Amino acid sequence: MKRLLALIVVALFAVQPAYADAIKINLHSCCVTEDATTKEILPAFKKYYKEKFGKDVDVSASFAGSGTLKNQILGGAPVQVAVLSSELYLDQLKEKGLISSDWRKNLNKGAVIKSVIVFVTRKGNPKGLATFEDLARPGTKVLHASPDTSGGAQWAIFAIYGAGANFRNLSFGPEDGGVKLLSAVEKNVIAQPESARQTFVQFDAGFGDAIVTYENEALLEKAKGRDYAISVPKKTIETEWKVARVDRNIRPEQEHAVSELIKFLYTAEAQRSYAKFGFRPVDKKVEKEFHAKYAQVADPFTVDDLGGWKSARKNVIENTWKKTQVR
Amino acid sequence: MRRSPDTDALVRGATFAAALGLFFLLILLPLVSLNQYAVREGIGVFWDRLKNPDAVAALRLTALVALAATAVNAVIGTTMAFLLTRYRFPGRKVINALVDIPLAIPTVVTGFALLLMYGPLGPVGRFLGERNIQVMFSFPGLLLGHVFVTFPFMVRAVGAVLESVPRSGEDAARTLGAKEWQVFAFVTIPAVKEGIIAGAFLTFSRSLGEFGASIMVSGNLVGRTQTGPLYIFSRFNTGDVEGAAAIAILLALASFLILLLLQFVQSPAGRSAA
Repeated sequence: MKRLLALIVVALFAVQPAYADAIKINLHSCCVTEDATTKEILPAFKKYYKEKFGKDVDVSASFAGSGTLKNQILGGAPVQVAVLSSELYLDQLKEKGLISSDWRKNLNKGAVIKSVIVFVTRKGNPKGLATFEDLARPGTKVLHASPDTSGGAQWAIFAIYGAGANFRNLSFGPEDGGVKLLSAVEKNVIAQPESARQTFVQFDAGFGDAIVTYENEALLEKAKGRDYAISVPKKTIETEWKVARVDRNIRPEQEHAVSELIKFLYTAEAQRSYAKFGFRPVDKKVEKEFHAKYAQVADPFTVDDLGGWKSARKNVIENTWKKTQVR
Repeated sequence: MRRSPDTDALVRGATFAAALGLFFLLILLPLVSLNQYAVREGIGVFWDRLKNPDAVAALRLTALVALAATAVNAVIGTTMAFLLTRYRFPGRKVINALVDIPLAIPTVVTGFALLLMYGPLGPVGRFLGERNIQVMFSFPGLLLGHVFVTFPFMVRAVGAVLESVPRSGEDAARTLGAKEWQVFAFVTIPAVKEGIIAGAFLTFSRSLGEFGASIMVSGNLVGRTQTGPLYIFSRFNTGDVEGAAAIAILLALASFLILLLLQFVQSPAGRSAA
């Protein structure tokens, strides 16, 4: 028994990969990017870095809801690069002094991938749900993550609000079409789990008629062989993920690998990997290659149409959405 | 080899200091830091966060679920402990080991298992769904999660007392013509009262802090199905650390008072038995 225990302990230590002299950096990336990042982008980056600079780099990545990741970084997690779904989180890191560089100066103002908010329905879309207004029909059961913990849920709520709103006149009062639509849809929301991923866990278990989520999540589920249907509403929001370096955590010897990793995320190779996993690439050429994969949104809008992240967060989520939760 | 009394005292003192020091460092200090955070912005902000209607709703729900879970487990757990200690039947050892399973599996897994069972895909969920009974994302679902997670506490607390209570009382009652249920209700239960109380306090405290299963089965709807720990998590994520810490302090304090109370209600006899 003792020998067995000793063996197990030795084995546990032995299975640790030995990158003794590799440069180690940590990446925190929004949970939906997990598959693309671990299966393709990080292995490709490792290879690229070794070939180009002759050094080993070891990137450990951690994935969770963007809000959770942001808090871990605020709490002192030794992370050098963050890919998050909300600008506000990057702003918070900046306010607390963790980020000192201007991530808006990166390519595309820091946006490294894009998507749109769609909804996923059961096989063959039996309830014929096509627009956000359809989700407001009585008896429809809707899932989206909690906007308190998930960046994706904030986008989903922006999408619902925006689908009903008149961008030239955002009053956020009771007569605002966006407020009306959001209140009506929220009446049908049966659960708001922690992250976009968890909504699929509940949907897989049979709950709900529709999930409001990122297109890439929907495509990923389809790729896994699920027979769900995807509805792309005519009017919906374009979402983006932004990358930033967490300057305070970068030691001099990590500097080079960190800036190379960020550059690498914009290369055609990495963009293609993201696209394979359902994201919309920001690289125009790669976007053309994968064009057929994505539904064309007739009337897309952005968070800027809602007054930018700060104002949208305050008016749409903290004021409007919050009110829809009290019954 | 005989050690001198001096060495003994030294060893005893060192052990005492080390144990207390470690306890302070590992358990108490993190709690103290939490307290610091909660009142960092002043006691006014702390009070303000506690008064938030969403916080009050979450705390109320937490207390209700904890009470309900304790009541359910008091009945099932005590019966289970009785079966496991008083009877010998095939598979007893396996069942005895299975009782502790809820402590070993991640609570998120518990939540998912319940979703599968009571969801539209599971046979039980389908049966209930046809009758328009929605168990998950509501109070009953939350209760099922908490009963599962806290199940071992009552069984073990009562079991420990039962082991030490001689069967002679029960046998005497049987000889006097008592039926099996009468023996259980009038002889066994009063004898293990201490265990039931201890189990109830532990169950209640554990339930107050339950997170993993709750986030899966409750629906996490603010002001409606969001429990205290889920509320704390969401406040923390929105950056309202003061709000999170205020509720956390309250829950920690409640647990502490409950467990402290347990120390006093247990009679010396019961304590030595447990």
